[in-house]
Amino acid sequence: MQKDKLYSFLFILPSIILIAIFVYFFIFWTGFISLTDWNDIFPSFNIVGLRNYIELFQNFRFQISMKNTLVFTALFLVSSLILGFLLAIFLDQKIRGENIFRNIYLFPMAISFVVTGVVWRWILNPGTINNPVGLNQILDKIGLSFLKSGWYTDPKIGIKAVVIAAVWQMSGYVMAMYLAGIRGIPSELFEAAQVDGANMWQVYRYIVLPLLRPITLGAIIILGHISLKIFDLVVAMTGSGAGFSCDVPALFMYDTTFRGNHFAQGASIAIILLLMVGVLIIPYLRYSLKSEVKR
Amino acid sequence: MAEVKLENVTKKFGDVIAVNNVSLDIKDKEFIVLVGPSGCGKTTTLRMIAGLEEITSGNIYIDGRIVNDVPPKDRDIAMVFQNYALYPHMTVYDNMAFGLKLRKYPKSEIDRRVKAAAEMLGIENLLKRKPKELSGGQRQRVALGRAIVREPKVFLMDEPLSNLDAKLRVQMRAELKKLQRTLGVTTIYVTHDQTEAMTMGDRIVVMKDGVVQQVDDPLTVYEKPNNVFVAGFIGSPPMNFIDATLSEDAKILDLGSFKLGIPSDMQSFVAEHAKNYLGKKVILGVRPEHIYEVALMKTEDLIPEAVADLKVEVLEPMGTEVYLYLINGPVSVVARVSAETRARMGENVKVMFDLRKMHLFDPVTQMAII
Repeated sequence: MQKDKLYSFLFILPSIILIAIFVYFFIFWTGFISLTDWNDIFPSFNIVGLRNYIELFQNFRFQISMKNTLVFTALFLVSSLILGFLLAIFLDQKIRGENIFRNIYLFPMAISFVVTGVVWRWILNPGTINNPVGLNQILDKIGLSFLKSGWYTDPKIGIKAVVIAAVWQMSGYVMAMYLAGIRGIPSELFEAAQVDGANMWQVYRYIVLPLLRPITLGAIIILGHISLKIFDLVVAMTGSGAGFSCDVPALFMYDTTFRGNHFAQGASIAIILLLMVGVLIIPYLRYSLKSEVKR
Repeated sequence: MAEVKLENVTKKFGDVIAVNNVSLDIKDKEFIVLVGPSGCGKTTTLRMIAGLEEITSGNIYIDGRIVNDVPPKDRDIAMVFQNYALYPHMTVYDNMAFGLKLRKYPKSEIDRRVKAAAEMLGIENLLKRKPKELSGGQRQRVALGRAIVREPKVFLMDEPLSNLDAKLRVQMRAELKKLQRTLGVTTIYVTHDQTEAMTMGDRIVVMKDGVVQQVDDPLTVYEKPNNVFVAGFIGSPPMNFIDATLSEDAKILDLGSFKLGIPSDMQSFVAEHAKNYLGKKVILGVRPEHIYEVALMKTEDLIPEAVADLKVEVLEPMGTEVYLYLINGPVSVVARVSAETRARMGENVKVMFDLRKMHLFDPVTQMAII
């Protein structure tokens, strides 16, 4: 028994050491940097307290990027969940060629955000009024030209255009989670509800959706942390956009740190991001650990 | 509350005929049990009545109305499922109230009905619990409660007791029967357990391979089975079947290794009813309780022509009675005798076959002759 414990400890030791150095130490290090005045190309470690944070919150670009990230997260989460759930219901109707549809819906997930970003940059490129391209051209051709828009080039839309690409990429994943969940519900429950007098909509509303709550929660956590940290998709698709209308904190952090050489300022953005993701993930971890202990 | 009628109902799954041309008239307030081995089509029949399975051909009537294309929710039926199918995220109260809420009953009426049903079932103290906090028997009651509160025209029950332990099953059997009497709701009950069928049903429907074999009250099914299948399925231990030859004069049954004399007062009856089988092969059916140990019999009851000497292969004490597994040449039978038996394993024992209660079946069609 003692020997077993020793061996198992030895086996996980390398990963513990590596994670300790490259994850936790660097989180700590970033936190430390954020409290210094290293806002130049040359390292400087004079502690300045929370000055970087105070300046950050007064920064116009940071305010916009925070607002953008909240809009992006809200729209991305809600749309992916609704679309994913509807696709799952659709696939659950025992339709023909279910496998084909499932693969089609799931496929975008296999693509890198960078590729998605580039492709959607082309699709949503508005072109000019006389020479529309991409989606605008299609809308023109099928007589829906009133739906034409400047998409991500329009500061009023900005980040919302990026949401379209992100939803396209991730809703299939939500669909797969929900479909597995729906398939895990015993068929008698559907039948009992039907006999009890529920129509299709009521079965999903009162039986399926409540039973899928753990899956919804899981999906919110996964999509939420992707969304808060989103970087590659925005860089590939739009950059920070007109008047920072597509800017997000991760992009701002990158620009500040590696283009502007304001390392301390960049570190403080990183810490804010960490806290935001933490708010989302820590309750979830506590919840799932607790239920694991219960089991 | 309602009659249920099945008219030439057939269900095919691809090429497989699950239910074949079933016709049934179920009377108002009747407790009817569909019984048969697994795969006999009894559950499919029930699901068709519920509307959970489309019918391939035929008609189903509930209360005189054809319901072939009516969805389950509009058939005014309630169903109890084998594994209860309680909604795990709802409390017991909400589980029972769900059907009424969907039908937009006023809150006070829902509350009244749920509480009344809970009281009837003795689960008032469980109303706030979730299904996972309940025992099997309690879940069973909630599932029943969910059906009762709806006050439907018909109860459909799909092996509702099969997940309970043996003791509770016997108890619930009686309670369920009593409940059905009290409520007076037409009930269609599916089981593979012939004891359940015998004890609960006003009438029982024995099915095999999608075909109805016999519809009768339990005693008739037991005493006058239509064919070898019904005779063997109903009764425990099952009826003994022995290949035999009936003599030309209807006096003797030749079982191969020994002969049995038919009692003189039976002979004319046999000669008349089995006139096409005189001198021919038949299947003799004798229930285990109709084979008596001679040593325990009163002499005046003894019919010496019907006595045979068989070897005791196995002896199973069941408490008040003993099952003797007897063998003599090709003949092997089970006898159900009193615990006072003097038979010993490996020894021979004299037994009398009570041919007044015998059954004869056609060896080809397997249909009952007597």
